[in-house]
Amino acid sequence: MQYPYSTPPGLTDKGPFGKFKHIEQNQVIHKIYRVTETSILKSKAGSICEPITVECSKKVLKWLRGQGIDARFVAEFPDRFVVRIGDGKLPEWFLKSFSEIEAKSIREVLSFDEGDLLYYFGDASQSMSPYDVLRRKSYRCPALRRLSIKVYYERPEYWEALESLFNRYADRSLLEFVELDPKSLKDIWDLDRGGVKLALLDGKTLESRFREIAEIKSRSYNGLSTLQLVNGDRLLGVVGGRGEEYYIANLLSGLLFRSGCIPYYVELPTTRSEYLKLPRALYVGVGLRKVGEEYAKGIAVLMTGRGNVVGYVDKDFHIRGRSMEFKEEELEEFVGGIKEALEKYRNNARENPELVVAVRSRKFHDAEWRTLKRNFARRWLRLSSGGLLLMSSYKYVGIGPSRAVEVGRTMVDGGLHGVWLVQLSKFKSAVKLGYFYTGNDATLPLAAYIYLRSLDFTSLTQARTSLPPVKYARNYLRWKYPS
Amino acid sequence: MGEALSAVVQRLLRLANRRCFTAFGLWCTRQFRKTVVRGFSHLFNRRLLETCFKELKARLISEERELCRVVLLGWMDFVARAHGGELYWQFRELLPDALGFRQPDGSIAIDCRERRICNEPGLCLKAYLFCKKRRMEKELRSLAAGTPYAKAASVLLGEGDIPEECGGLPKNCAVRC
Repeated sequence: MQYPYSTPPGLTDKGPFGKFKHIEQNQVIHKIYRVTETSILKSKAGSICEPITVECSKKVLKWLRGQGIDARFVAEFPDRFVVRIGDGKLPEWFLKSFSEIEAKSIREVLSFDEGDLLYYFGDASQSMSPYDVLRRKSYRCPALRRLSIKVYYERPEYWEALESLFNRYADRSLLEFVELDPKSLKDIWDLDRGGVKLALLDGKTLESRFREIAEIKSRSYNGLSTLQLVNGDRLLGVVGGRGEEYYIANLLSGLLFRSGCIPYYVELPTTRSEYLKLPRALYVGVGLRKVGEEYAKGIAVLMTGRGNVVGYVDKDFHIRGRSMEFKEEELEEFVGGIKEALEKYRNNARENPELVVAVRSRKFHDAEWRTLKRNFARRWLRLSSGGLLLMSSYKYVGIGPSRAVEVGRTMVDGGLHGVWLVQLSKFKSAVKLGYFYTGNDATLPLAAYIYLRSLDFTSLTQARTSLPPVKYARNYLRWKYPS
Repeated sequence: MGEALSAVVQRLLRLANRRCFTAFGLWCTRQFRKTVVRGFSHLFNRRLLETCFKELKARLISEERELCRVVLLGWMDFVARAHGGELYWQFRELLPDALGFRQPDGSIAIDCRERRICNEPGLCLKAYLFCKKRRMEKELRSLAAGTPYAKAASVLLGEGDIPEECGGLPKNCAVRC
């Protein structure tokens, strides 16, 4: 089967054994350097401050830029600089003052990469690609009967386009199980009814009735929205194009997930004990959104290591404050909400997660680490679990595909704190992973990022950098506070 | 004529009995899972067990789906245990390679004492075949019903036959009394 686009795992990208071939592209445009020798720098720059603190790094950076070196420093480790490598070579004095922290292949660091993940579907079938969701039964579905999804369309041609794509690409076994139930949309508030719905709306309606749609959408959240919105005009544009198959696979996977199914199970290709915490960890995605001059930051979505959303901190409960980080009293309030959701999960699932992973797009600060550690990583508390990993991820600079570099690592009270840059094979730039971890394996956050990313059933593209529970929480805030 | 017929009948009866013993032996290994039938295995139709084992092995070689491989290995385990002797040692020899546990330096990539193995159901199934630990059995029983992992687990626990999607039970392995 051939995938025409470059984002999903196309046949051309596969090696002889069906795994991703590591294509070495000369796109390494940033390298990481650490200040090792200040004497040469001093003689060149006049007076260079020491030790290298954030304030000092700002001065060094200013001077470096004056010398034509495009750089930035890493706030968590101010003696580490990320330098853009242009056509010209770096001057000799630079190479004498700074030493490179070399990037390695992800496989070298973890012994696997995202191309090695195995996707298990129903009927014991396995695949190297999540796009097989079109051809295989879901790994698990709570519905024993046929799954019926209501499709509200604003114009009949939207439904016709969807139906033709669905019939063309969905396998017969899937068609037997999933049924699309079309209905003409009479009133936008029809979408405010129970059950999983797909709405094919006119681009103009999406704009003109945005406020009402946002309200309906935010009301449909239960950790995850049960309403899937599709711009019908975009759908028409997809028909006949190269991305048809991906489009329908993404849509179907999302709908199955919203209906309570787990489209596939992701198996970690490792026997490393530390990484085996990940399938049974509990993931807490924290959302953040700027609302006027403030930030909404209290929404959290709880997700299991199988990818299903099992709880959320009440959608009406979220904190609005001036800073992106939590202040101590805000965090205590938020932690209370998470504990409640965690307790509910524990009682329902009768499972005590060995590891709690809190993820957000903004980096965690020392004070946040201390509060969260006190609440979630103390074994003698009933509510505590074995370990705690705080992880932040956001797009950074390019370091080259399939590469990872450990920018820095340090011991903090009760664990490890560090920063990784990781660029998966289809990423255009690296993702900066900052972490605090109660354990002692510094590579776990990297493995957790790859694993967690693969559990996003609402977007199957290999180029996505966001992590599902954060995305779900953020999307909720997006609809709750439309700009 | 009468004598010859009687001899044939006698022989058929003997064969039927041995078949019954074999079916019973296979049933025992599936029930108790860790048992290697020694002392009784000469009563079994060992050739039947060998044919079944060979067929399972041939299917294993051409099977690429991990879960189906696990299921086939599960049955090979029962058959080898019922046969005892050479077949059992042959099976133990091939198991680490068939499960993908053998590392390039010859060491085994799995630690049977590691409790986290069963956090990953696929790995737990394989580890159970290799380690046969009681707590792994418990974990396998707790796998969510309706998932392919649970189906494979039921086979390893002696409660199910090779599922149709994995080609079903080979004809030679359907030993009935």
